[in-house]
Parts: sequence; C-alpha cells; structure tokens
Amino acid sequence: MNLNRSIFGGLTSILVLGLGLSSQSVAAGKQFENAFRNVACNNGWVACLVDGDELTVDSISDSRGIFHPSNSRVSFFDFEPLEGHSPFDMVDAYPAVVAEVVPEPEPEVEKPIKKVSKPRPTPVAKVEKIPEPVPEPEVVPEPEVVPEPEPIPEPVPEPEPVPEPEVDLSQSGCDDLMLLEGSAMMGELSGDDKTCLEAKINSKIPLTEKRDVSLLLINNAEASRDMSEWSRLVGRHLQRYDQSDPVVCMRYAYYLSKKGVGSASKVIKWSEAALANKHQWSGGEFKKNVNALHGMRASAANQLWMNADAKLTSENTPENKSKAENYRGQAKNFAKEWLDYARASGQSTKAAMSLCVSATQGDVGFCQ
Amino acid sequence: MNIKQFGMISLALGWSTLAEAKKNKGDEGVEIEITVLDAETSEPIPTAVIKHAEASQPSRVNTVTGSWKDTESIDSSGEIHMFLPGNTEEFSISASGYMTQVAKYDVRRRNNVIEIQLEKMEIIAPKLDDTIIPFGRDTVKTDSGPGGAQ
Repeated sequence: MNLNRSIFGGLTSILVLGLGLSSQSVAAGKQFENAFRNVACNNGWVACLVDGDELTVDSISDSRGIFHPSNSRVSFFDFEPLEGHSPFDMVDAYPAVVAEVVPEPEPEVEKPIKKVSKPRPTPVAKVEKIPEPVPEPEVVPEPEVVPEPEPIPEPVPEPEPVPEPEVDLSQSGCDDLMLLEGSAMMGELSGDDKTCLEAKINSKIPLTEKRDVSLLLINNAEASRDMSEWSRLVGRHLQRYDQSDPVVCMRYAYYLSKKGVGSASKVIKWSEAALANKHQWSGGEFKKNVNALHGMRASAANQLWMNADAKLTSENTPENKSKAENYRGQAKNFAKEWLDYARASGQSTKAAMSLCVSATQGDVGFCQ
Repeated sequence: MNIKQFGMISLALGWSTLAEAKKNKGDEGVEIEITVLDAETSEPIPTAVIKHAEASQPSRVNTVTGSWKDTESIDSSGEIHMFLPGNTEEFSISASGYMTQVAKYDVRRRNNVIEIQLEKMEIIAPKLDDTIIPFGRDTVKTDSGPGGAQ
C-alpha cells in the first residue's frame, strides 16, 4: 500500500514538473523560432551564399557527409555547426548577375559582377557557383560530336554543324536561361538571343532543357503580343517537348477555341490533355480551370456537331447522317460531363445545361 | 346474276366502304404543324428537330420551310398517340447551336399551326488569357545533390 502511494506521489510530482517544464520550453521554443527562422538563410531567403558556399533548400551534409535539412543549424549526430549555424552572421552579398563571369577567366570568388539593367524576377531560385568561369568547356557536350568522325576513310567534315552554334551559345549568354527570363517576360529578347536559343533547342541537349528553352521563347512571344509566333511555338512545344503542363495545354486550347470549327478537334484534344494533368492545380484555380476546360471541350464538340448537321441538311447521305449523329453523341457526353462537374463544384450550370439539353434533342431527363 | 342484282351488290359494297372510311376519319388525330424560325432573322432553321413528349425519336423539319406536321406520335413501345382536340401536347423543339424550347399546346379542331422562334446559344467562355505559362525550372542533376551518387 505504502509502495503504491509512493509510486503515485512520484508520478504526480513528475507530471507537475513536466507541465512546468513544458510551458517553459514552449516559451523558449518561441524565442528560438524568432532567432532561428525556419528557412535556410538568416536573411529570410531560401537560398544564399554563406562563406562562399551555396545554401539552398536542398539538403546539406555535415562533416561526416550525412545529409540534413538545409535549415538545420547543427548536425543531429555530433552537434557540429552546419552552414546556417549562426543567425547573426550576415550572408554573403548576393551576386547580381552570376553568369556574366564567363568571359574573363578570373578565378576570384569574391566580387560579383556588375549588375545588368535587366530585371531578375526571382533572385532566389538559383545560385550558381561563382568559380564557374572555368566551366565554359563543360557547358556543351561537344566531346560526343568529335569522336564520331573517327572512321578511317577521310577527314569527314559533315558531322560538325552542331558545334558551331554551341560555341556561340556560351558567348552570347543564352546558356543561363534564368538570366534571360527578365527580358522574355518583357518580350524583349534580342534577335541574337532568339537565334541563340533556337540553335540551342536544335542542339543535342536533354529534352528537359529544350522544354525550358521553348518556354522562354513562348513567354517572350506572348509578352511581345506576337500571337501567331506564340501559337507556332506552343504547337511545337506540345508536339515535341512536353505535354504534361496543363497550363500550356489549356492556353493553347483556349487560343484555338477562338479559331472556329476548323480547330475544334484540336481544342478537344488539348483540353483533354490539360484535364489529364489537372491534379497539378488546386483550390480555386483547379475549379476555375477544370470548369473552363470542360466548357471549351463541350463547346468545341457542339461546333463540330453543328457543322456536321449543316452538312447533313445540305446533303442527306447515310454517311453524313452517321457523322452528325456521332458528333451529336460526343457533344451530348461532353456537355453532360461539364454539367456534372459544374454542379458538383457549385458553379453555374446554365450554359452546360443548355448545351446538354440541345445535344439530347429534347431528352431533358438525361441532363437532370 | 342479272344486272339489277349486280348493281344492288356494288351499291351496298360502296356504301359500306364509305361508312368505314368515315368511321376511320373520326378516329384520326388532327394535324399539328410547327414551323421553327431563327429568332434573330426569322428565317427557317433547316437543322431543327421536333420531339413530342411521348415520341421515341425526334423528327426533322422540312429543310426548306423549317416546318413539321403530323397527326400522331409513336412511343418507344410502338403505341400510337393521336393528337386530339382538347388535349394538351408537349413538344421540345431544338436545333444544333440554338437554345432548346419546350412548348405546350392545346389542340384545336383545325388550324393547329404553331410558329416557334429559337434563340442562338451563346456560350461565354471564361477568360483564360491571364493564366501565365510558367518558365521551366529544371536544373541539371549532379552527383553531389540529394539522391545523387556518393
């Protein structure tokens, strides 16, 4: 009995002590959070240079090479300070333009190069190691090209068309796409830049890089309001480089939806491509875009049906009749899907309902 | 059979045929004619279709006049529904690219001519011009990065 009582007393005192300590530790934790923010750099950015070392949202490793989150201050295993250890040391001055270093072979890390007038949209996204003047040769995968003409016969001059633009690339600076983003956003990429980017996109670079170059050119064309060039570039982008970005697919479908019945099939195609990747959106953006895509697809199908119906009226053949019926069925299904989505997501169902009822030719029950 | 008998028989036959025809005419529905016009231009809509509430299939209008007429409709089980004076009939009138209309009509003994005007369907797509296409953000993977070879 005495033993039980003493155990109970002991537990109670531990509990009381624990509560006291926990309230203290909460207060201390808040102080800690103020001092050590939950981002990698003490200036609030998500990437910076600390003593010349790049600190980003990527993992960092301690002295033993074990990875830690970039906002960790000390190693979990040996309490050795990590790169972002001190909240008081200022981070290194941020280089305004990183890639400008290329021309001069100075190995100096210290001084960032002079600022170029072009605006940098997101200074945090990428920090290139400064001692990169050297990498020039590494930029382009030239080595692969050279070995090819090895066959015995004669010095083959053919396989060389590729290397030439590649040399130009590094000189005109179109290697660093981020550097060109500011100009592209303003639609101010120079002719040289565009030529360089086109050469780059046609060279032997990875597909993901081609996609990035293509997006840069697309943004530039849009900002300069050259929509015919924009549509050419987007068409090429979707056909050759990437169809997984629902925004690109949706914008292209939207553009085509204004081109009339001739583009209606493509509108359906690219709306569906965008819908296939709709999971990349969320919240209000998801609702708005998905509803718009359903609407565009249903409207395009309706246009095709109207067109086929008009043909059937002018030439009543079994073939035209079957076409018109198929298109009507398509319009009916797409309209119903649109209606269901609009209803489920609490958006206006008026247009979807009109289209659905029209495509069912009076079978209102189908659309209820 | 002499001529007198033959005349009597043919007269009786003729009378019964006429009576039968008269009887049939009493059972027929009355004709309803619907003309479908574009509300803006008042032109006939050649692609319009009309579906009676009990009919299994819609019927197309005459492509030149935009009109349709009938005295009955047939439902999906083959039952004939006649249009009779005093009844109210419901039709849905639609055409591709137009808003569908449902019309209820009280059938009269004669002169059942209806004119329906359909309005063009306008689907206003939401503006999507302001959706910005993002720049690519891929970086070349290096061995020193997370998940890289050690």
